[in-house]
Amino acid sequence: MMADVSAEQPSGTARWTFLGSPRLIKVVLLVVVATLVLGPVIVLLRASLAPQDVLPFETSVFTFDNFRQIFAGDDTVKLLTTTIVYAAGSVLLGVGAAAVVAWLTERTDMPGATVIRIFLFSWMAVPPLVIGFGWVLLINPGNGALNVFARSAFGLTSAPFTIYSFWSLIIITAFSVLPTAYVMLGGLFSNMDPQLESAGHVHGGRSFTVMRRITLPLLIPGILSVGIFMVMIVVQAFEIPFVVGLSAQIRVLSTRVYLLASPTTGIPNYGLSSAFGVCLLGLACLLMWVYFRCVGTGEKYRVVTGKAFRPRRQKLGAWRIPVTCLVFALFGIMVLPVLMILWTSFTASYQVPSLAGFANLSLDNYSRALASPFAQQAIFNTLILVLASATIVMLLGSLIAWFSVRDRGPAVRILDILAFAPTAIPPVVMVIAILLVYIRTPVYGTIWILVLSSVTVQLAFATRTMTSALTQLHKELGDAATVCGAGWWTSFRRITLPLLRVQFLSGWLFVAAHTSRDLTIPLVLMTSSNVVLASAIWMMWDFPDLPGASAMAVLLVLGLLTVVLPVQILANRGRRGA
Amino acid sequence: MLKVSHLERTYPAQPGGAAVHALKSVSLSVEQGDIFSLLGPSGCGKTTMLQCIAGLETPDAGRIVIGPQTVYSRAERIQVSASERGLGMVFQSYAIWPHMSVAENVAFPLLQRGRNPGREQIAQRVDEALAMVELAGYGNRSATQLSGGQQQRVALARALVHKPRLLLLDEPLSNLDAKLRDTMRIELRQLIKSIGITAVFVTHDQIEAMGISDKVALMRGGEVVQVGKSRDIYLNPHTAFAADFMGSGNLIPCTISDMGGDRAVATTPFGRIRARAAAGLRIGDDAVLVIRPNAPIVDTRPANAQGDAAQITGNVASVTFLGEKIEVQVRLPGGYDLVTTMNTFDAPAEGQEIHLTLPAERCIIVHRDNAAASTVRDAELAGVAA
Ligand SMILES: Nc1ncnc2c1ncn2[C@@H]1O[C@H](COP(=O)(O)OP(=O)(O)O)[C@@H](O)[C@H]1O
Ligand SMILES: [Mg+2]
Repeated sequence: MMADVSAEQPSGTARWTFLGSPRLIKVVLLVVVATLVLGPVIVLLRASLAPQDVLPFETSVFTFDNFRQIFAGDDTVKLLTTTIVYAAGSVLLGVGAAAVVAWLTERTDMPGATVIRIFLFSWMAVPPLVIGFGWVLLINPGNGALNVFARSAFGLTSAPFTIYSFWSLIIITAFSVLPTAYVMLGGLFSNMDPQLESAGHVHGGRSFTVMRRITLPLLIPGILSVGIFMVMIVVQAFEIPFVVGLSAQIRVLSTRVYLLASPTTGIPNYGLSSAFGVCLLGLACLLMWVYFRCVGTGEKYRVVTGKAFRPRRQKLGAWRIPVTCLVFALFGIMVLPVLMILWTSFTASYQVPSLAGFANLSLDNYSRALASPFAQQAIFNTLILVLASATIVMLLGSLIAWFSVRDRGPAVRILDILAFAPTAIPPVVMVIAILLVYIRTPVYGTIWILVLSSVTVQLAFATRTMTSALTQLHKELGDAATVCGAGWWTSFRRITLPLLRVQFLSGWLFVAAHTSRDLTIPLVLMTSSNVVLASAIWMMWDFPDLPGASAMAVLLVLGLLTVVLPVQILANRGRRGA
Repeated sequence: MLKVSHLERTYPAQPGGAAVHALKSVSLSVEQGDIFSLLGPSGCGKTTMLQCIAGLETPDAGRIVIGPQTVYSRAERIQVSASERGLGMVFQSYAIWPHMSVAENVAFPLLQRGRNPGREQIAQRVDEALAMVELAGYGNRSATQLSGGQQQRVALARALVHKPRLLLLDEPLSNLDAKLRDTMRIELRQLIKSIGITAVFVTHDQIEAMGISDKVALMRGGEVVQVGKSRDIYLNPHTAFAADFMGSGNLIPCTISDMGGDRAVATTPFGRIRARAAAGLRIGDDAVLVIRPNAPIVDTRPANAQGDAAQITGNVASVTFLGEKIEVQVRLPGGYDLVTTMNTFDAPAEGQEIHLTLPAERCIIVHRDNAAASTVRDAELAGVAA
């Protein structure tokens, strides 16, 4: 057998350039990510220091006028306070409720835990835009359905609810914070080492004493860090304040930035908008810093270990039925706006739901919407946007993850930081910056600028997902391929990616869902040729064509649900199987 | 076949840690057809060494030549990438790809670097390789359905299917249970020898190293301490570390008081003992006397010390039953406890007086470990000296 050994020896000697391919990929990645992330940030900074009403490229003047204007009046102070009170209030309510529900589903014998878990995990299929519209239809003081019902039922003369109040805005936002916070907290609750609690029981603690004295203090750091993270998200959020808050004259930083760049009347004030954007960016960075400080100190509790536990479940006893009813009532309220949109989508013109109204329901809006070239274009564009951006960003994220886990050079550190940076950049600010960069290029006005923006905004998520997946993968699996003679690309394509396909797919779905439901990017970059479903719904609503907008919204939600729901059910089954 | 010279590797400091000097100017030479073991305690740099040979790790300096080809040379700026070196490797975790079937795993090396020998050729060579590791017929199984031992065989088939010029094995037996480990060790040696391939085998287990290899390089703290046939290292260790790691033994601190030819006299707590001396020792040196547990000839009556043999008398302090043999601790004059093994059927009573004959050719005086000696050993030696 020795005879033919030499026949397959490699010939020739590669020089130092052998690293060529991975090194080249690294450089290309660095350039791509820097262009995506740094480009807009630099232009934003430049624009904030340029005179108002001109594009940053068209001037060589540097001025602090914008910032001077921002800090001159007490308007800004009011704006900032509103933003912070709004974010803190809705997070307090949302994360509080999420913590209670997470505890109920993960640590007690409440019935229906699986249904609740699937419901909350699938909630990402419902765009905030749709929820906002639904609430407007439900509780606007004029003909909001709930107001009409309440008036006829209790004989009231004035409307009991109003959408146009700070409180409504906070509560509606809290409802949208709840599912995300639940997803983050669920793992924390179910992975807690039960021995910590058992120790409490063994040493004589009664159930509720143990919960108050041991469980809760152990979970506080986790809940706190989720809370701060959510404040960061809400400060950056744009859609609900835009749909709900603007009619009520409630302005937060994100809507202010948008309105200056895309005013309903007059010309855009990019200078001032950018300056506010820089302020919002600063606030987001500050929150990020606080978040990492807290996560750092929370680390010392180390409640969540890697082991799979079967935590002890608290018996609810007599509380079981009332608590269950309460939780399901809460979810009933969450679903109400969606039902309202569903109802409206079947009506010829908007009317309050009633039994008599059922006779007049029809699918006309759907056939009308699907027949119009406008809607067809929007659906087509949405498909391109979702498929392209989810695929591109997950591939990009996987490549960055590979380098940041397997290759630790200074260039990779920079790559890491750049890929992480979009977390701290509010999407609305990022998109306006992207608008400023590309407004004079042919990309502007096409669907591809939406793809580019979505990729930038989702890059941090994609990289984080794939990095944590890759750290779980034994290095020897890739090394084995290399020793077998596989080049870098072969090894990445044939070994690494297939082994991470589950995480890749779930990341892909998450990005796809969030891209298709997002309004911020399509709205800021909207032209007549790159309308997607989210912006089409907004345009029809604004027109106003409420039934048409509702029909499109229902189509979007259905499309998302058909993708998201089966995956969540499967994931939940796998979770119980494990 | 394989020549490594002055290889250096330092891992840069991680945040919150210091840099690790994993290889300190290591040189080795492996003959064609040999099974060569790298033996040493965990963390001594064996894996780093193997990865440098494989090309998975880039050394900082030195030179690696495989057959006629220089695959790494700092001075000549040559660096052949791992995928171009044409080697086979078995990993500690086996690294069987779970998303591929057994046959796909084994066929992988045949399809790299632009090769495609055709469907039939591939099927035939995969079958051959699987038959060689006694897994014929397992090709369509999913890799995840295999037991540890079977995964190990698949890893071996994959490493051999493309007929590499050098086979590298990184602790391939350490994830198997004890019984299987023994049979696999014997099979592995037979298989490698029947193919005639040169192999570098990494292990931290001296029994494994002795059983499988033609030659052993004993490593410690990034350096090669001693190279040779395992029998040679066992009988002629240079240092206390080598004596201790290759087999077990009594390591007795001593001073050399006389020397002649290759013999020397060691002054120990329990008297003067004649023994062979490792090269480089001189009169007056502080050294270590190595007495293997099976070296003393044990007798219950005083024997006549003849010629080159020392005679010591002690009392049995304790007897430990180990099955085929017993381990006896003998309390010697000066308070030193010497461990020796005896036939189970000759077990002495505790407290019994016992006479040990120590032939000079069975004892060896070796160098003390230098300052880098492990703290455990230092403490032991200090305890004995006290
Ligand atoms: N990637 C790495 N980064 C930093 N230090 C490392 C790395 N790999 C190994 N080391 C260190 O180098 C030394 C030798 O490691 P290794 O070669 O794996 O030892 P062995 O295989 O003999 O147990 C150890 O101290 C280890 O901690
Ligand atoms: Mg090792």
